[in-house]
Amino acid sequence: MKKAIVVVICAALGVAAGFVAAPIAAEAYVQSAEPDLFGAFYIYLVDSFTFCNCDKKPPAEMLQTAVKSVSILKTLHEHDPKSQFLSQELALTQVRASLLEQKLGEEQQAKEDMKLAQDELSALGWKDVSPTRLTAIVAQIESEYGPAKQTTSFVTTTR
Amino acid sequence: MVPKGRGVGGMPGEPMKVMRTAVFCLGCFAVFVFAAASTCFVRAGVHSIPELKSYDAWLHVGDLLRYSFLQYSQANPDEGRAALLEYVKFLQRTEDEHIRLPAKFVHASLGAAYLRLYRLESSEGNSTVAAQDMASAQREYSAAQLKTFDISTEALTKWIETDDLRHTNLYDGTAGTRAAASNQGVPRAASK
Repeated sequence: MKKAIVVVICAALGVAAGFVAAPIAAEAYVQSAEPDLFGAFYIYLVDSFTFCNCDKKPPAEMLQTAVKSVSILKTLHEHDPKSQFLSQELALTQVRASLLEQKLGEEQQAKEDMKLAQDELSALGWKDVSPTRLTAIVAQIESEYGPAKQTTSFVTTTR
Repeated sequence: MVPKGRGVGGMPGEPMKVMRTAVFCLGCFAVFVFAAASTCFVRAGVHSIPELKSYDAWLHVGDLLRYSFLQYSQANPDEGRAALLEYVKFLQRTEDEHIRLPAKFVHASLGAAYLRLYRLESSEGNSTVAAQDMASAQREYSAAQLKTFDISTEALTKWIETDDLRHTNLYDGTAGTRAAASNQGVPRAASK
């Protein structure tokens, strides 16, 4: 009888452990089997941190985030150099960094980053890569990542 | 009679007892591992993996939507076409792999992407391909079952022109900056 109880306890503990481990195992599985899907999660995070000043951080702090994001996107792009999607993400993040640098008076760096972004977007076939146009596009993206983002309700219903 | 806990022939049963205990512990461990593995397998397969894929796919759809729209509206036709087709391919993949996204949303998004391809091919003078794209768009909108959405060629052409203009204005900064672009290309009824 005692032995049976011990076996049942072991089984119950096993079920509990498996239940807790399942999301972690799922994460590992999706990461290895569907790297593009898993990458989307990282890119979303990078975009959110870069384009949404949800915490009302000062520009210097936002610039640090943008620079980090550029570095992350560069690494991702090195792994998938053919991805035009990553090229565009990288370029628009560089525009964001450039705008912040301009705000902080780092004119030279701002110009360099804007130039990098313009080159990248020209290579993607963009017809107008003027700073005015790119600033407007980044401003729109910032508004999409703002606190009032409308997609949240959809994401919630799918979970 | 062999006393309890003793070996055959009245030998001291200590090693036997230890061995039995070890075997029992091993058995318990096996039960634990089996229960954990089977629960993990079932829960991950039925719940966690589909949920994670669905969530990641939703984020990727959003990323690709913006990417394809910007390529379509800002880049040359070849780049715009490539980006729109990449977006279409991913949406189709979510259907093929049964990734859980609302069917209405997927069909309406595909419809809008085909309409943009239709506009692009029309402007390039590829009328045959454009007609195929329009037919695909109508098929997708029909599958989306949007009750109050007219899917005639004229109505869809007019709708996509208006929608493109609205979003182009947003990205040009001529219409203020709003979060509306997150819903671009999807008729209001589909996003509900």
